[in-house]
Amino acid sequence: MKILIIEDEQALSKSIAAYLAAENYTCEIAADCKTALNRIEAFDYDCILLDISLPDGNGLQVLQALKENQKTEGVIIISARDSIDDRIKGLQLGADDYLTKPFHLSELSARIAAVIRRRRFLGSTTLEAEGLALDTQARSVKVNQQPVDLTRKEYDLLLYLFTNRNRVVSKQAIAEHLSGDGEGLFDNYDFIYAHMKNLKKKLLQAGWKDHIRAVYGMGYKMEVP
Amino acid sequence: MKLLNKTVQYYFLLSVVLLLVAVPVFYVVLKRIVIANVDARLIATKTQLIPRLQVLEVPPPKGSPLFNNDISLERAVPHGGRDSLYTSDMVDSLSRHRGTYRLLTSHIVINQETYRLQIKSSLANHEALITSIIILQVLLLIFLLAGLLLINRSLARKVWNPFYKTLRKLRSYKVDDTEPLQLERSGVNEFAELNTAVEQLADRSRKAYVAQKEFAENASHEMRTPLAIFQGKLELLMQTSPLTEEQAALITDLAAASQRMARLNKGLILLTRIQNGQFPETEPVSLQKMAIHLLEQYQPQIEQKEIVLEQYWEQDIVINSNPTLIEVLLGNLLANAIRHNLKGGNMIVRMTDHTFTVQNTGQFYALNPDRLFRRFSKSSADAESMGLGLEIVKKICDLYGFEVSYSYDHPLHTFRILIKS
Repeated sequence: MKILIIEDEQALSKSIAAYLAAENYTCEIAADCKTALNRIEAFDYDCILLDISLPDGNGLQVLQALKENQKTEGVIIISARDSIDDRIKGLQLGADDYLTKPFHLSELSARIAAVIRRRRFLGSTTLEAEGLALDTQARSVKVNQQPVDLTRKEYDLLLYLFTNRNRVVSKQAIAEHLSGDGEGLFDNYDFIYAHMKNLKKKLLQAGWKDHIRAVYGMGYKMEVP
Repeated sequence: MKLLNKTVQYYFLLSVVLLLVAVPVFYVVLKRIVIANVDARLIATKTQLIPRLQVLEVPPPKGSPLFNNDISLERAVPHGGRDSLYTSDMVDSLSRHRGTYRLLTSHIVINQETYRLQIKSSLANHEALITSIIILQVLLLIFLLAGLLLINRSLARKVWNPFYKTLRKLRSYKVDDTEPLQLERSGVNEFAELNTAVEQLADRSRKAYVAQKEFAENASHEMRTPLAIFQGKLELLMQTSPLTEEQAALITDLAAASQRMARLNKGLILLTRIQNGQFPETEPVSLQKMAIHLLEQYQPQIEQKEIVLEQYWEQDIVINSNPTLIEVLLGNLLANAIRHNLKGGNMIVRMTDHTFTVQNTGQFYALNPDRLFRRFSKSSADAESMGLGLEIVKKICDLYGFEVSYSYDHPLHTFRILIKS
């Protein structure tokens, strides 16, 4: 799958590309509006990551161009500005999501996956690995065709690890993902352990071999081929 | 003391001194004039009388048309002295009234006999006149003084009016007001100058404030991209292999630090936004619903710390406000009560028709209420509490006219928001 990263900070765009490469995404980088517009005209992408403040203009121009060319790429805005006005403007122009800097790459990856799922497979989508099946439409989980009853948080956690599979996901990223805006108020990640313990127990009971591994108290990693 | 009273005080002092000095001086001068006048008349009478008496051979008897009640002639021992003029109190032979008289005594020789001639003139009438004049003068001066005071007072009030107007405006002026300071034009040069100077001063401080605000805002925003790079590289570092436990521990600490920076950044931007009034959208928000929703969200943390939570919802408060800000406000208070609580501690949340109170156990001494709501004045050992939370609470309360207060009643720390609708 092809992703276009429109971002003038090379260090950042390279990080994103490196992280996403592990997921078999092909990333192209455009550092300014002009390059971005040329790329969009010439190629089709599955998802576009768009920084709004670019050296040669406003990134919203790119959104406008996409709309005019009736392209259906999923667009995620990554911006340092996070006022409600900025968000509304971006989303009104057809962006699918809005992520404020600084963000966790694992969060970005999860959002990209969600956008692609929504755009690509309009019907139901099932993510599968090692006998585990996640139906993202119905938000249900099956292990070897047997439904597993997970809480909302446990499901979110599983999906998050799944979309970032084979990579270490930091506990900060998990905490932020699970508690949304409320995360900023707490500094203790113990609640993740509780969710993780329950999730693992349920999956194990359903007969799934445990593929989720804690990495030195740094984070977690789901290892599936 | 008012400037007005100060000037009046000096006028008054001067007037009193003048009155005290002028009235006696006036009295003395007037009396001298009167006495000089009387003396002149006595001498005139004497000069008129003497030639007539000297031609007589015997002194005229009493009751002679030459004499009246004021003139007496008596035989006396020879006397070479000069005439004498003096003032004396004596009883009038006719009216039997005691009075002050001016007397002229002269010795004349009639037919080789020495006689003493005494002419007197009553001063009573003159003294009455002087007294009336003095009383009149005092009254006049007093009326003049009172009139001056009154006129001065009303005039001063009128003249100083622009000054008081400026003062009122200055008092209500805040540097973060959206409107610049506008003072009325004054026709009086001094006030016009004062107003211009004050306006310039206000303008300068306003510009400095705006610049500082913009700096905080820009700095916060500019910090976000490097932060994003830092966080991204850290995540890539996590993926490297082989990764030792030692390296992982270092990366974890870095991740925690970058998380803290990100939060701090978010908090600063939120504060700036509140100060900039960038949350204009309002809608009716139910505080009870919001608080219950937040408590549900924090349930994992509450369970984690085994906190015993008591909730008393006496009456819901619905207030027209920005839901995001109310969520931040209540969220900060509730999260603080959880974060700074003891393991197995207590937390009491109470809502009445005009207050929202959060109480919690925690450290066993009161926090410093002066520093509590100020930026970065954290008092807990919890290194990751960012010290912006309560300032944000205060700013949101200020925005909506709520009053937030803190008290400590062993062992409970209490934060109370008073909501006046």
